[in-house]
Amino acid sequence: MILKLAWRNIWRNKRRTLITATMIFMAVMLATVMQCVQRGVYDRNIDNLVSYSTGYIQVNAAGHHEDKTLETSVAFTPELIEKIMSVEGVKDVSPKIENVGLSATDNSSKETLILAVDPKREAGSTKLDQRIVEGRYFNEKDNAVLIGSGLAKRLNVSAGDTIVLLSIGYQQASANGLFPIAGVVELASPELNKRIMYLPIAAAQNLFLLGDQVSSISVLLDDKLEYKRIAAEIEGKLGEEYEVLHWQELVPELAQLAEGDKTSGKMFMLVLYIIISFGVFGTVLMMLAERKREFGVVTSIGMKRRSLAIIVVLENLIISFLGAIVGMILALPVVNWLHTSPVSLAGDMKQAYEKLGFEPVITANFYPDVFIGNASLVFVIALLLSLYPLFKISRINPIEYLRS
Amino acid sequence: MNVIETKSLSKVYPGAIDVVALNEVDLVIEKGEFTAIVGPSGSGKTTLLNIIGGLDSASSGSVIVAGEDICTMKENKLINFRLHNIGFVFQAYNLIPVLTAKENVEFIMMMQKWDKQKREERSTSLLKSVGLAEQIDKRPMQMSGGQQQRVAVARALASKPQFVLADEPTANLDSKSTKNLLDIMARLNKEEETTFVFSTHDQRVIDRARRVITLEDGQIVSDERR
Ligand SMILES: Nc1ncnc2c1ncn2[C@@H]1O[C@H](COP(=O)(O)OP(=O)(O)OP(=O)(O)O)[C@@H](O)[C@H]1O
Ligand SMILES: [Mg+2]
Repeated sequence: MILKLAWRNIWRNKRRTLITATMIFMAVMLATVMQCVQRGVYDRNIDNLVSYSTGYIQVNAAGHHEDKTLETSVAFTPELIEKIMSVEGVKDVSPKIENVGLSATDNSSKETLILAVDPKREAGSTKLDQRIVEGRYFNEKDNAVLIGSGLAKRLNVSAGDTIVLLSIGYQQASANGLFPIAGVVELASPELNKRIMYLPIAAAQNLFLLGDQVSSISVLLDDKLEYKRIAAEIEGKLGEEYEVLHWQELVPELAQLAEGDKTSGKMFMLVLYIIISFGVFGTVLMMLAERKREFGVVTSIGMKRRSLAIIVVLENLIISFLGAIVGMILALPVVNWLHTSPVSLAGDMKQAYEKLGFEPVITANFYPDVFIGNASLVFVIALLLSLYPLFKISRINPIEYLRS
Repeated sequence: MNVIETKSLSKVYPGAIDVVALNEVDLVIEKGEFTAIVGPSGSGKTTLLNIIGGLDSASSGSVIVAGEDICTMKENKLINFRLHNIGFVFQAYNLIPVLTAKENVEFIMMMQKWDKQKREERSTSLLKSVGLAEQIDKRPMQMSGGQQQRVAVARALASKPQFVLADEPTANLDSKSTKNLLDIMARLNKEEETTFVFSTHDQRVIDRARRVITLEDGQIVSDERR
């Protein structure tokens, strides 16, 4: 009976109900899409940056993070690999050697970030092979390099050219070499693109006189979101001579940037929801005014205020529930569309993104918690807005209400 | 048996100048009466019906309904008392717009927790006896003012109250609907032995009453039985 009354009341002023529900679903949709985009963009760029540079988790020799030189390198041994691989959720390990140097041609030289990788594993984990825009990918035995497209442009070189690499190897040995450029890669992160040069691990170990040592070991995960747990478990298995770091510890600036943006996003949501609340509150007031006489009649003939209150609250909740559901459903295709076909930015926005070292695209991911969060938030708001009619109903004076 | 008894019932609306809406009214209504309260505008008819019906409070005096003093009742108890003892018919817009005629009649029985079958029986037979057998599934909007008032009468009678209070029930009706409604009220008064107390300005309605109480300035100036 109560449910029936609530349900029919909802549809008695269809237009008002639709306006209210529309406000709610627009808010839910907008908020959901925005948050999915915001987090999507960050996660994509964290992924770009992290997987091409540090990896989500890194195993180093103790002290390497403080002193990023070859002196704190770590032996990449089968026993160590086995220990790391035994942790649940670890997909693979990928050795890396990082160094800085100068890459030079006859007429110019540029500061270069040298990253040596296992070509096969890198192809498997970051799909580096698919980033080739010119020339070919390299293999383990190659004594050739891949060069970032930005760096190639700055040095005015292309695939097939030869480049001189000047650097300092293990124990300060000078490490200079001449390398053919196998291919040019274009990475998503503009910052990396401008400075990076890839070498096969073996070639780098030779060049820097490292033996079986590498700078660090990137750990590839089945689920990137599990980085904290897995890092802790690996740490538990390894001794004091190692350090295990996850990406937030490796690039804290990025983590902070993401947090800061989340805060400003929250402010926007707050404003959005306040506006919506006022809108919905307006319709609640209209509803109360319109039904004054009816409330007077039903309380006169003996309806308990509590029952009346339940009906009105139910009406509110049903409308916001419908709005929230529709909002979530409509947000899905938008999020999905942005996820599958990210929108490239141009102009100022593009520059702003690139300044941050971001790939200039708008994308989104599906985050269930964002969907549920916004839907429940709307629900809570509806409950809070119901307090006013509750208060009004608790003070109904039948005669006064009957007169209207 | 007295269903309503007021003793020195007064109602004063305080203000810059206090309005004495009822002045020491002593009134006894017995079971089965068909009584009209008449009087000029502002004489206190509505005020009297509201206080008897437990919708308004008295300034002084007492109101005994069905043996209980309703002046001392707490709000929640009073709502429950109204639900179980008093039927109301207001001037207009009595019905819940989203419910059908039948559901409106069943509304009170529902609140009194009658079982479904008994509710159905009672609401169908009541709507039949007010001549609305065909309209039971219509919503108020789909019915004329007279039909709506008849549904309201059926609803007021639904749970067999001690008495039915009707404040100008025909004020918004044309003469044909007025006669029709009065016929129905008079018949139900006989058949169901329901006590009716109604206020009116309409001479044709006054003529149908078996007792006519005239108010002036909040006082009973005549009390005539026929
Ligand atoms: N809420 C109120 N506040 C102040 N004065 C009121 C209030 N309600 C009624 N009155 C006054 O009490 C007196 C009696 O009013 P009441 O409504 O009972 O008269 P009535 O006989 O029903 O009149 P009508 O025939 O016009 O319906 C009037 O003088 C009226 O102005
Ligand atoms: Mg009146």
